[in-house]
Amino acid sequence: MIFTSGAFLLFFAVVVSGYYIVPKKLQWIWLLLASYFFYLQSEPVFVIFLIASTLITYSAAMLIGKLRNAQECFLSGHELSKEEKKAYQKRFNNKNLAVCAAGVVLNVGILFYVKYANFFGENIMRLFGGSFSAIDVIVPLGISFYTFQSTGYLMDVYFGTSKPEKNPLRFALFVSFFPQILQGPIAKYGELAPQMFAPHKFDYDKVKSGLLRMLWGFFKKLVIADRAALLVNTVFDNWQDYRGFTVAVAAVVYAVQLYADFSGYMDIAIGAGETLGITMAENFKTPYFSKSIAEFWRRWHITLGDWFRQYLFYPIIRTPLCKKIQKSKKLPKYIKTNLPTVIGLAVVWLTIGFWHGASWKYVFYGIYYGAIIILSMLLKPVFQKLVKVLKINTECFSWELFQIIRTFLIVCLGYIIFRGDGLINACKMIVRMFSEYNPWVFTDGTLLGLGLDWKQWNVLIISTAVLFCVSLANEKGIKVREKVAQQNIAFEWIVYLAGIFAVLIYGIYGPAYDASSFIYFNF
Amino acid sequence: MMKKSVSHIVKPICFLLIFLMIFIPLSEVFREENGAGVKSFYAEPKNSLDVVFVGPSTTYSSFYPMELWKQYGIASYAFATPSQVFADTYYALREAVTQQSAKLFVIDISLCTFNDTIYSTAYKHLFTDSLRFSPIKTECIQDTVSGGKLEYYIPFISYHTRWKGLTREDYMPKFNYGKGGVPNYTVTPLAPNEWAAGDETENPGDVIMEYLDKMLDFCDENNLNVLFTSPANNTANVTNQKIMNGVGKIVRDRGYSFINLRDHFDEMGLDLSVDFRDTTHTNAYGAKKVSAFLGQYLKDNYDLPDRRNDPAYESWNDAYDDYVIWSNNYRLSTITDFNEYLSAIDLDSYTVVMAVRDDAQKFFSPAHAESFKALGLTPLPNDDSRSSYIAVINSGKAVYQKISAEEQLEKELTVNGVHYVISSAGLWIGDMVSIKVNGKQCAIGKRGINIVVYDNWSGEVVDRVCFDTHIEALTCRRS
Repeated sequence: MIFTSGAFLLFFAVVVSGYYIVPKKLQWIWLLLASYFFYLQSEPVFVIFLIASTLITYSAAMLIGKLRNAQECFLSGHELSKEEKKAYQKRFNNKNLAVCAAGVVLNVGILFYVKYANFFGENIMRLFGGSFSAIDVIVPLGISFYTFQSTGYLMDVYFGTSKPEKNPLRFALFVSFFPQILQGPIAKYGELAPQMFAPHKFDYDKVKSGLLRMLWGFFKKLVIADRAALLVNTVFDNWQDYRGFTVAVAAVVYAVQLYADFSGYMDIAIGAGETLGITMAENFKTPYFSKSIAEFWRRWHITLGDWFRQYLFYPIIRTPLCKKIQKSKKLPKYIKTNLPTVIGLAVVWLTIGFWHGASWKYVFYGIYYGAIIILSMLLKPVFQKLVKVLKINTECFSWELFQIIRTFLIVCLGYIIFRGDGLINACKMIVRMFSEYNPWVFTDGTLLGLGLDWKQWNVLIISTAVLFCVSLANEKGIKVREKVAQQNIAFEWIVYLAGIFAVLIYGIYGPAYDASSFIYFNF
Repeated sequence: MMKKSVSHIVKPICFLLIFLMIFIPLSEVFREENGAGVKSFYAEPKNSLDVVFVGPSTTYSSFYPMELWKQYGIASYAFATPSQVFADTYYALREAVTQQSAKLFVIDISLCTFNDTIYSTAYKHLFTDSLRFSPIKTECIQDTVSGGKLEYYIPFISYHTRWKGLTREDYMPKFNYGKGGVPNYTVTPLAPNEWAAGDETENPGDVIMEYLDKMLDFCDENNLNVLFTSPANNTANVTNQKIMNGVGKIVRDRGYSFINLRDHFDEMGLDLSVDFRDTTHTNAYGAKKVSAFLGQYLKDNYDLPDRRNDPAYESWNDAYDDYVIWSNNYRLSTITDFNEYLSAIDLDSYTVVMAVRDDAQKFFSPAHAESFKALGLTPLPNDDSRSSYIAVINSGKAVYQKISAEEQLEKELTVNGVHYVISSAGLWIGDMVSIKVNGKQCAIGKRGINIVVYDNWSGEVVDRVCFDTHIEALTCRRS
């Protein structure tokens, strides 16, 4: 059941109505039932993986909790010397770590099996010259997201930042909450759970605000992203036919498509949560206004970045090896300071690449960003010196604009790898983009033959301009929804009706349209 | 607090109402026009019709209720949609019965040869979208559509992609002035095909049988007077012919009348060279003949009143006048013969503008001269002067006419509130033509007599044409 289907709208209307009608104590049970019903609509067999992940994580967390209780009881019941205490804690910590690691390995193991086993099998066999018979398995929808969410929870319990949830059904709701299960945002237990299980009164303003956020999401997805997809698919699926600026335009339009698609989904998800009185984590913060790649990744898919930072990067730089490097007296200061970070970033970006999919292009996509971020960090003193020598004023708008455009172009180049037809073809596409100077495509009608006629172009440009203006307002700290709601009712309603009819008329949906799966479902 | 709660209930309701007030008319604008007049059926006063025709395109292509009215005073309606599958015909009959307790229902069995409940999603839409929202419509969708049904309940889902191609016509109210009959003047000469099946019969497919049984049970239960017809077409498919015979036998066995119109071509006077638009459909010329035959048949076999002098049906006479114009508007754009055209534009509702470019006199014949005289115009001299010429006819009478071999002619006038700016120049004095209607250029702009016909009844230009009377072929151009 995708968010843009009539079935979802009907489902959501029933869920919201029921949510505010059932006794408040039962609201979370209603949500659990709704979430499992929602997930069952995709493919009933997928629910086995969801239940497995839920039970593994729940059991491991409970075990860690019990061990910790036993530890606390023992310590409070016995008077031990400092050394004895330390030895005892170490023994228990090792047990906790073993349980946590087992939980993580099992969880990630399922993900690895369904998503990566074929990729690794094929490549290992290719390396050693053997033959590999592919495993016949379909990747369950949203598995990358809910696996990361439950694994994060388990690690929080291990690190002591969250207490284990005793009620398995409550925990099941945290993992399966329908607005976020398929594409995130990846939630933290401590932030989401208290809201889920608290009673919620019907709040007119919150419901209205949530519905408007959903409308904005539908606009981005149906009017912008799916329209942009018509051009993007034409060029990327027939990349051998295109060169020069045509490829460049497709890359830029893909940047628009991917942002509108993914952030549109987030708006629908977060809006749905808001309608139910639950505030979910933001996943985007106008990423195309970023001035560097590192900043871009702090503003794009924020919850994924946070997850990797918290559960992979920090644990890596806290490993004995990294600590040893930091404390080393033999290594120069520059290396001592940067090497642990470089190791952490390299592992994180390689993993982020893999997270996106079992394909070399995604691995390279991760390496591409990892290399840029690491090099930017290592060469920062050189750039700073260069700026000083060239007497560049970095405190002005033009410099900021240059940084934004530079970052955007680097991102667009990365998108060619991301969207391209495999790593080699993506590289060929980049070569074709730079191998011909053909500015006439902007004036000779070539761009009108790429799946969008001039009327479709007009709608795409105008709707993207609306998106740009709203993003700019957000960047300046202006909350557009609140601003509109403060206007006179006539103006307010005209804006809402214009939004609804823009989606209804210009949205790409309905029986003539068959490409309505969201891009991030694949990850 | 209480005030706020009330506002929180009232506001969404008001918003929803405003949304619906925009959405519903907008849906009509976007809806694909079916031309078959199912929507207009609901405009008929309840229980005012004596005969209701139900069926697919052959129904509205062969039975012209307005011709039945003119000739026999029968108040009838063709409640039909294109490629209406037999299952839909069953539901159409049920829907028709909710609106009209007609003395006779005529059911066209043309598509008893198509053993499915859906011909295509587009045709299914044309049927279901036209029906008012009712339990019958819901039952029809649930019963005959497999897969996604939402688009049939909210057709806008399918039609919203039409935003790129909406024209003026889409914004105009859609109404069928032929009481369901659809005028089509396209002529396709056909070679005769035999009814090779003779009296041999073949049972229709299981889907057809299911709905035929349901239909006959429904007729029994409601004590309906029904005549089943197989169409006046020229199909050569023997299997289809046998199936139609088979259905005819089944309905007769159940005590209902059946007439195979194919058996009566000679009585109707149908001419295969001029009366068909394709193998399976009569054109308007053919339909008038079929309607005349069927009207007589109905008069002879059923007790149907002549309503022409019934005061309660006075509006039908006005409706007939509208129908004549509406039908002629369709006809005009198919005429390529100059003389036939001159007689077709002699309607009260038309303002006709003529303007010459280059020359119109070389092959302007005495026959043309007679037609000009009939319109109140002075015939053009049959010489080689290559004169400029402008004429304006309103309601069949000439209101302006001027010819000149020496100068370019210009004329600006307003007729019935419509502004015309006309220019004409013969070959030696400018070689141009222009006919602007309310500022919009409408002249074809080619050599000969350029004609623009504005219909004051519908408020639109209904034809733009140019007859090249400089050459013997009298070429007719419309683009």
